[in-house]
Amino acid sequence: MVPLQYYIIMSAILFTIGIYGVLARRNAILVLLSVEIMFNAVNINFMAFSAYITPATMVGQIYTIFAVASGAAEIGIGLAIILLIYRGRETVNVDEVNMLKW
Amino acid sequence: MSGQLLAFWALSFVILSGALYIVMTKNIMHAVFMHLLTMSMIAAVYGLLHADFMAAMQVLIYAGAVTAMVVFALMLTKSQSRPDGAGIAVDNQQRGASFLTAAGFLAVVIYVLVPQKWAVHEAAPVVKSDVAAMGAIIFKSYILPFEVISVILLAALIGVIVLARKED
Repeated sequence: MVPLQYYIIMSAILFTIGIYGVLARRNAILVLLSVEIMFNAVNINFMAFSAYITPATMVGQIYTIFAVASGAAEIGIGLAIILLIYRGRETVNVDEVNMLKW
Repeated sequence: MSGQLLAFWALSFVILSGALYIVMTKNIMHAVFMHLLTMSMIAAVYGLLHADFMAAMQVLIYAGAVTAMVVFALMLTKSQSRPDGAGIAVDNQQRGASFLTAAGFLAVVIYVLVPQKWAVHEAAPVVKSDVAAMGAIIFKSYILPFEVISVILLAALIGVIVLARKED
């Protein structure tokens, strides 16, 4: 049987990789993919806690359903915004989109 | 070593190296395909946790829908980076600082979480996948979040159409 700690450490490392990707990438699509990695790390945590601590009520699984739904909404909106930026500015690099910076 | 532990190690290896590939590679298309592999392996982890329904949802939504959407976005935008890494870089100039931030975060999380004693259910993890019970719980106890999430999805749908529509 796999100890609960293993799942927690694995998802922590996965979340860390996602943080690195969000900070170090400048192509907006790759930033979104890194955000997806972070979403999934959180979902693995939810599922592991659900299976190990509250197996009968399945709270974590239900939270994961809601998290997946809002994640799907997020990636749809994000890609639409990227397409909009590309149409106006011919670039998808996040460091070139600086109109709101003073 | 039990079979479950072996499967966990193998899946963790594939997931973590796939995620590392996604954040390291210079070829965006390879990153998207590796995203597909990583998400499928995360679905296998859900299977290891006896959550068959969520494993199926993971394959459908993340491995299927999200990857297809990202591929469409890639086709509709022109990246100035070439697949061999020449041209404009896909990374910014702050890789060192990003690495330090991420490593610091990981250190804090491991320091806080590993010594914790979790109240692990003694029969865990014995959950058998019970979609009927899950549906009953959602529609009895979580009906308000369910309705809110459907409104959020509708708003996202309309918002995407409004954003991506060509102005005339």
